[in-house]
Amino acid sequence: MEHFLEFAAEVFEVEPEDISMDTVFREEIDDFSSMMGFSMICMIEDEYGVKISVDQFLACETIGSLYELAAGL
Amino acid sequence: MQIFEIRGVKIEGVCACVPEQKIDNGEMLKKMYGGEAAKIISSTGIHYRYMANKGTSCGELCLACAKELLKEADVGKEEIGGIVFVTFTPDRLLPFNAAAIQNELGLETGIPSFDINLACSGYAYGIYVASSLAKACGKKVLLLDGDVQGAYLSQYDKATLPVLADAGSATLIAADEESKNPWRFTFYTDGSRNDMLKIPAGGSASPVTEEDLKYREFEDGSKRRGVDIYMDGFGIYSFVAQTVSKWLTGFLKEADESSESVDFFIPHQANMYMIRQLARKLKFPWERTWRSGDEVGNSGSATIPVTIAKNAHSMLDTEKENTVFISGFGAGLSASAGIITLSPKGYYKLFQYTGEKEREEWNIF
Repeated sequence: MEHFLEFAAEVFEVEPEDISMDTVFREEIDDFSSMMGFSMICMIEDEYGVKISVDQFLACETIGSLYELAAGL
Repeated sequence: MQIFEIRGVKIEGVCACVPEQKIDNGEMLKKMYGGEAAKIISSTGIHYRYMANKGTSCGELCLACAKELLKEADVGKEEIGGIVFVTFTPDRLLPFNAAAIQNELGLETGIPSFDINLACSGYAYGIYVASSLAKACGKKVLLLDGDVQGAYLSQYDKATLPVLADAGSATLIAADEESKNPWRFTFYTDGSRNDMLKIPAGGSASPVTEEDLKYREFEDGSKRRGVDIYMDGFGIYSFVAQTVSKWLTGFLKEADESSESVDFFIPHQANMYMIRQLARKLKFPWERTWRSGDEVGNSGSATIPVTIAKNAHSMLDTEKENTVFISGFGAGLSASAGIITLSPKGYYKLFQYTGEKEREEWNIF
């Protein structure tokens, strides 16, 4: 889970301590953009071997919900 | 991985230009998309783009660069042994651009001159081909690289309009036995993904019809004609983030180089977020990653020479030959990369083309 936050911080270009599983990324990440969305989908595939669709990504609100997809929970 | 090595060549100068119209992306997108504009800008990091006036061709932009470069580098016409022109937006489909350059510059008729049709991956190809010619004939070869993408750009497309731009460039490559450092190149092609970045109509497979000139609306709210550039934003992102990044890491390793041994990384300026993430994956610090896209936009394969022309004076170590890692990636899908050297003694300049031929008129960056 900690690793996931580190990867997510790189995608969102913030410090890991600035985010948590409860972060509502579209609202709370200052410069959140579609490019970061693309990057998140790629990161989940690269690091967790899970291919998620753009629609699945769009349905996620928190970093925790992204983690659940990545970890197959 | 195939590595192509060449020694005994050097770059004498890189001159690039942006065209007449400076576009403030924030202002323009605000008119079209209102509050969404800020998001689009922060997403791509591209604040300004330069677009050519209608009818200003990529041949014209590159010619202005070539004239400036040959004059400032004090190169005689008889010293030029060939012309290579990289573009996917030639002045006309027939004839090719390089011939007009031969005439305009008054170069000898007994030289090879030809175009290479490549998009964002074109510059390293051009450097490799031009340096091979220079080495083979012992003379200097002029590499022109430019595109006027505006001729194929929908003003209502959310993926392409906020990033794409126009530019021209000229690079002078010379045979030089003193240059001992090997230049190394590698290339990557995956034609199975050729639908991700394309102009659907206008080629021999799909000659332009009346329908192709009408705007069609797409799911994301974009409108495009058949003759406009289409880009699958996510497809291209994943190509760069997942395929190109690993491939470049492998190339550095195979060439026995690293982000430490190479002085600077000069990526194609696709968009700023994309190259920041790519630099991070390759472990190049952002300070040693050269950029220009935030200020001038993504002009296709010319972004690398534009970036070199913009940064060389302030960034090159003046005490040595600098080793730089260049890489372009895009339509095809295609990617190219080179580990080459840039000399602080070279001539480098980026200017704005105004349509005036007198160089005093040029606004020097």
